[in-house]
Amino acid sequence: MLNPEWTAELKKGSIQLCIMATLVGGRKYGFQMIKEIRDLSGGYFDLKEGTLYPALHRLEQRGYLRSEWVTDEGGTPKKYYVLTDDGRQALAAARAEWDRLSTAVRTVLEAGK
Amino acid sequence: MIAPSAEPDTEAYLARVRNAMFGLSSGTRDGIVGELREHLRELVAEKGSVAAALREMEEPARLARGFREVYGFGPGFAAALAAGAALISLLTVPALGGLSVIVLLVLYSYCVLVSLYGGKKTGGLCGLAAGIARSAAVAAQWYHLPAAYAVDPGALALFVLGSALLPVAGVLAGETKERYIRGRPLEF
Repeated sequence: MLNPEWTAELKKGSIQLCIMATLVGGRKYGFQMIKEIRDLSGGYFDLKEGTLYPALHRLEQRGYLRSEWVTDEGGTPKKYYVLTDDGRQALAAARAEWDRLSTAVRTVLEAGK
Repeated sequence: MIAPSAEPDTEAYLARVRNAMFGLSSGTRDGIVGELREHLRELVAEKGSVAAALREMEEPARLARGFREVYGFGPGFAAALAAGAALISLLTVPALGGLSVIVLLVLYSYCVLVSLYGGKKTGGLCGLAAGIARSAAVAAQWYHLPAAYAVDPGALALFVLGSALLPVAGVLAGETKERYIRGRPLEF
């Protein structure tokens, strides 16, 4: 069984990428992102609100996201997040880096079999 | 996880979150609580009951810690803390003898703690306010009672250094914590 701290370390580098990637298709709010990331990852990423929301606010501070309050048809206001142009560029760069990283790790792991 | 409550109440939970975020500006806290209220509303719908939803939520203090790391203290709270540092610094003038050294150590600890808890900007502001206030206090004493001060260059240099390092200590503590946070694994 892998040490939980090691698992957390492995997840850490990818979660920001996943958060931003969920916004490529359009604006979303926090709860929606948690569900989408959980479903798409087959339950591997089950983000707590204390992880997601501060991360969203930090990404917004860095200019990668912007947020807007929108009232839905039921009259409920929700805070939606949208990728900015800087965010799209950062995501593209991070995605390319992720591809290089995962290829390199897979190659090394395969060689070690 | 939140312990099950006999009368689970989302607003009571949100009030605890708001209180735990003390020091952040009021507008920031209102925005965060509003966002969490909507999160809870959706979670209640998914889980089927308020009690079940609240069991899923994290402890308010833990949530608040995450947001404090993002925002630090708001301007009003930071100004109040800086005023506190300036007041404490008045007890660090050399005329008070040994007491001034003890209070100076307390002042350094104060700036470091503020920085660790509320961010390097607030810590630096406290150090700056304290450094300026103690320098002004000594200058005022010297102006009114020049005979009471025999200016020893070594002691003067030590005093200036002690004052100048206050904002440095305030900033460094927060900066060190920020570097630690960047390297810390996210919690799931």
